[in-house]
Amino acid sequence: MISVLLPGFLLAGAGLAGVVGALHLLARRPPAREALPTARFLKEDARTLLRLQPRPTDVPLMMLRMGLVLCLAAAFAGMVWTPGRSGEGHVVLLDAGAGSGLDWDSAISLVAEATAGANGAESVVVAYGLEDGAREVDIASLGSLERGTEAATAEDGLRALREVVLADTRFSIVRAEWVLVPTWSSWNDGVGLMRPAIWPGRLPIHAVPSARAGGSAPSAGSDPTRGRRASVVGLAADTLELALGALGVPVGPVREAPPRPGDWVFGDGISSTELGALLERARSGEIVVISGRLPEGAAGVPWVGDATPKSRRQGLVVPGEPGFASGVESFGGTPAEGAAVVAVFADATPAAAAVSTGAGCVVYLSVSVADGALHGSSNYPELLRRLTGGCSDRDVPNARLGRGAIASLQRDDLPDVVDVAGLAADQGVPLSKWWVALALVLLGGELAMTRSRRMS
Amino acid sequence: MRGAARPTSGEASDLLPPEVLERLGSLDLVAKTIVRGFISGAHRSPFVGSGEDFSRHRAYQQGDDVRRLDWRLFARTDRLYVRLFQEDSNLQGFFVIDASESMGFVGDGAVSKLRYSQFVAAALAHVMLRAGDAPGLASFGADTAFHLPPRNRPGHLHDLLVGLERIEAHGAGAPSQALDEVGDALRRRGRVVLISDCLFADDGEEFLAAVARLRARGDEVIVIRVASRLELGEVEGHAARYFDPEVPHRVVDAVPGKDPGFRGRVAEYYDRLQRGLEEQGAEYLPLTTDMPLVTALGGWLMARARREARAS
Repeated sequence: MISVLLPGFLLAGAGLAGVVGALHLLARRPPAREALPTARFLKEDARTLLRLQPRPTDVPLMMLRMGLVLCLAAAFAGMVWTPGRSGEGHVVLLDAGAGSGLDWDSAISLVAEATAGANGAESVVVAYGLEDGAREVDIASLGSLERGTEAATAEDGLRALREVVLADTRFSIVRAEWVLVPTWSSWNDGVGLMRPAIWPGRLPIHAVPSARAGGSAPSAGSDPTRGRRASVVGLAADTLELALGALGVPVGPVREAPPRPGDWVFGDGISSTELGALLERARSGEIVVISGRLPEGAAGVPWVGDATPKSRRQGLVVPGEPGFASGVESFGGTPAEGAAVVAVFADATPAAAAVSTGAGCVVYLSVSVADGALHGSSNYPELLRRLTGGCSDRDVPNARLGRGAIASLQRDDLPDVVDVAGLAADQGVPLSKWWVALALVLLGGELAMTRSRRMS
Repeated sequence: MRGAARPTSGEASDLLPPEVLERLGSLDLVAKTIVRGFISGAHRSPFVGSGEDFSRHRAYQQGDDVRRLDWRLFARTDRLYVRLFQEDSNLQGFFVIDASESMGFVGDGAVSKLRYSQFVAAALAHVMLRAGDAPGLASFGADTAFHLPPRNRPGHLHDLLVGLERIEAHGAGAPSQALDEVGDALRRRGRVVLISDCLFADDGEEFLAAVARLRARGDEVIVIRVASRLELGEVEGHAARYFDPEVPHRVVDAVPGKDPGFRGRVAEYYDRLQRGLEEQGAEYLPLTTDMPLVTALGGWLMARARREARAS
């Protein structure tokens, strides 16, 4: 299949070739010159001169020149050739890297389950994270497949799917599914943003049980809200009071002494004096959640860097929970050394971090808890509960991906099938250089023919 | 005489046109093919003279060398006869090839005039060497070039054919200068075979003068004219702007063959040249590039041999 990026050049070339042809047909050649050693014995007469009218145009030269113009036009038109494709494929993308706690037998079962739903389309398994990268593998030989020694990321999988499918000319449309170990170790920066660009289709995820994660969220266990009390410093007291109330955590004033271990203290947009007091409470065993702008020279907080609002993010992702897919305004900075990331934005950059301090815990969220986009969400109370569990959810990289993260990989909003023929068009063979080469050959022929015509 | 050259009548080689010879490739094969056509078996060279090999008897005349008297025949007949012998390597000769630009003209023939001249020279060189003569090779085009001195030794034919192959048509030459230089190069009386289209800028005046100088010193001069029928006006050409390849700026709009006077003017030019040559005692052989070489050369060599026989 040949596609043309700039068809206007072809039209212009056709017009120009027509002009060249017209000029040839209008102009006529002078009579031919021929050698004759006895020419000195010839005599010129009127009848001979009559026969020597200018000849019709040189048709081969005209065709050569028109071809030259058309070749140049085709070269500038950006023609691309892609191999012909037809048929529908069903691709199962398999994470074969040394994912944490990968249960390979379960993975094979999930692949078999996925391929069983091919609905008549040819089923293909693409494994990634192998020692030799990614490739199509035989379903029957999955049991003996030698897996990679390093964990593969979700981005590796998406790119492998694209490359293998685009290199395979069997299918014009492809429906894909993903057998994945959904832990945070497979997540990497930017995957949320790049996801639709790499594979513009839905990818139903079959989650392989993770041995280390044990199939349960690290925060699961006894109810963390039981017997808690909370207090709020700074802004958003009303909003927080409502949300914490929904969790069954009563909100009261900050008591001076003594601090009560396990209680929650929220501080948003606090001063340096207030920060010092909150950190002291954390050392006494309370769980302090600080959010929004930090005071100048803040120390003891699990966050470093600029506290100026930087950008508007698509949403927050908290392990084990759906994403808060609303736009929020984030502050700058990165987690401090030794701090655990407890939440990320949809583009996988850290959003919140936690660090143990004395008997308590300090959590920092780089979005103001008073941000309207957050507290307008029905998940707002759950976000608060997850933030306060930050210091106990320390094994975040091996924790199971939250529903929000999985949703951002699965993308139910994208179509079920992908037109790979359309995708491959961008990666086809550009024909411009071949047209230029042909034009150069024609130019050489034109020069040689013109020269020979002049000599004769 | 034993060695009169005679074309082998009815053989296929008689009919070999130049285009077939061209396909044979090397000049060596071409020369052998032509010579096989007009020399058979023990036939000897048509170039007869006095040498070591007995030819025939002739009545003694005053001035004859008494060492050639046949005393046995005198004893039987009581009359004096001298013994005549076949000439061997006494004769030196030169093939002078016209390599001017006009000789590259192909016209209506299958080969150019130069290529045809190379065939002629190759065949005659073969014949001369078989007869024990020593042919050399020179050419004139942009310059006069001496390719080989006259020799008769094994391998000389090969060298001569290689020299012929290397000649290319280029420039406009002066035959008179070439003939004078060839005459100087011959140490004694010899034979000069000029192969040319004989289209000279001055209508051949200087050329005839040079031939006269060669004849005056006793050299035999043979002029073989090679032309295409298109040049001679015997084939109808088409309307075009014609020019002489050696004078490309002079253009004539004409149709050769439709010009009633063209053929006559060319013929008149060559007739005048022929008369001039015959007045000088030179031999003139007109050939066209479409003539089978065996027929053309064989007939001429046979006639020449008869003349030699009558003269002696």
